[in-house]
Amino acid sequence: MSAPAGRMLDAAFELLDRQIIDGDGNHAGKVDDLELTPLEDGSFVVTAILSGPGALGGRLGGRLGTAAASIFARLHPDEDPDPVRLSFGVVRELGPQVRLTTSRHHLDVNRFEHWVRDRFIARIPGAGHAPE
Amino acid sequence: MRLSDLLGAEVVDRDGRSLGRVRDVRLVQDGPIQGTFGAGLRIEGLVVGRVAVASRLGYDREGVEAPWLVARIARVLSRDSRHVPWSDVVRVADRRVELACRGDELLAPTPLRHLPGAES
Repeated sequence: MSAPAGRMLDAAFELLDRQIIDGDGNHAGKVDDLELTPLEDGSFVVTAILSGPGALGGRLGGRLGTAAASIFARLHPDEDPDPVRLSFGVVRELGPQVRLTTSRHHLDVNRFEHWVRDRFIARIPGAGHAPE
Repeated sequence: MRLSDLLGAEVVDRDGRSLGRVRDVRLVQDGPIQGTFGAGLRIEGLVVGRVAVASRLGYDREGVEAPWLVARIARVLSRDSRHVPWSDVVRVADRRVELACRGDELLAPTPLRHLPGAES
């Protein structure tokens, strides 16, 4: 169940780097950043969880962060890719993990893994027999 | 804006004095409805301080018992942390947060009640 309205939490301490669990109980990445959207009255609301190298790169900063972001950009078909974005509307519960209502198959969370699978793993002889 | 635009940004008061950096962003669940999550998380304020490690240890939480030495160290480390209500933030740009108030008008952050997961 989601917590009662009005509760307070510290974003970096209680949300960042938490494991995301999808509706089927599978791992679906980590919380690498949060999207904050302004309202008319000047306040900001968390509207999405950003996950994966595209989001983490910006947070790490420095050479490592730039490298992570540029690798992510290279792997992505779009010219100027956004990080993986999970709308906060699919969040069911915040706790030691962040639980979603949706299955990860409906979310674009494992882009890097898919790329590695298609480009490298699939070319290894016998890889076609590997169980999912 | 992203959370990472705020975290680590330098915080400067009305007189241009630095209060340290943004150590955490306090959220309150009373914003517009976000799907199944219910009321959205709205920025309530910033936790600002000069020492990075202080608030990340979690010993500033209410109801968390630390060995006395650790508790004392945590207290010393976090003694200059301040809570900035979001309404006092004038501008966020270029890794810098400008406030409408003076640094000495700000209070220490209130400890939040529990650690995540402790309620379940």
